Amino acid sequence: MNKTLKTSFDTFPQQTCVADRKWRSGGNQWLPISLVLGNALLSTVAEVVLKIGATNSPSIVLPAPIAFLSAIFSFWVVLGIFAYIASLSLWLVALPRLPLHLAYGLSSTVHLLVPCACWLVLRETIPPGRLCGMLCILAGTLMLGFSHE
Amino acid sequence: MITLSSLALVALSQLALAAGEVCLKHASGSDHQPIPPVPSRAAWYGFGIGSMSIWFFLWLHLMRFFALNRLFAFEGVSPLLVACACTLFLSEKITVRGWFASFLIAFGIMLVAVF
Repeated sequence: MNKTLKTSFDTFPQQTCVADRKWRSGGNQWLPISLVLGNALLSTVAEVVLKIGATNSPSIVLPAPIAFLSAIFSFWVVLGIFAYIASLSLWLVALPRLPLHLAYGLSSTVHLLVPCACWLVLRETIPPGRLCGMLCILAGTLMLGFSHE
Repeated sequence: MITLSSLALVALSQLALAAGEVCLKHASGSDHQPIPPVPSRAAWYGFGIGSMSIWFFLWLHLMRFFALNRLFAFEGVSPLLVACACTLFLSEKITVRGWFASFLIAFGIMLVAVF
């Protein structure tokens, strides 16, 4: 039996992700969760400002083959890119601290935040059926987030 | 109106997003895999950021033609894709409840697409 235990410890990766071990040992879980929720909030801001930028004409229009890159010259698109970079930075800090499927599940709260922001900021309409779908997505997201053993 | 070609672009963008997430997680270590050495780690970060850049420009292109709250609903499929990718490529264990949750999200997306 000792031999079996020794073998399994020997084969276990020596440099396994420290954060995953901390998560499993019940370390501070609120910091990575807060980071992921902050990431969702910044993603929502980015999506809304990118939508504003994508629908407004950019100040400089590039020629045909690369015309789709013209959007980069819009103030709102630049703001959106910065919001995405900030969001990605939080994500990169949180990622080593949580298993991917759990972190991604928590970050899916963005699916509720974005339509709410669209309704509030862009005055887009949300029919009741779509609202039910959004609630299903939210329930699934929460269940996914808390399904980790 | 959502056409077949726009649906293909949405699918491609979501695959690029899922691939990017897996590459970034692979670079930062996972439950069953050690953190790779520095050159390999930089390459995985590079692949991840490259893949997410593809997703970003496809998404920006799609935003010009669709209302954001409708388009964004399609991104709900990504937890299912990422869960599959985590099982296949990162050997993460997902509980039955976790899979059920992923399918609930997919059902929610179907509702959003119908209404």
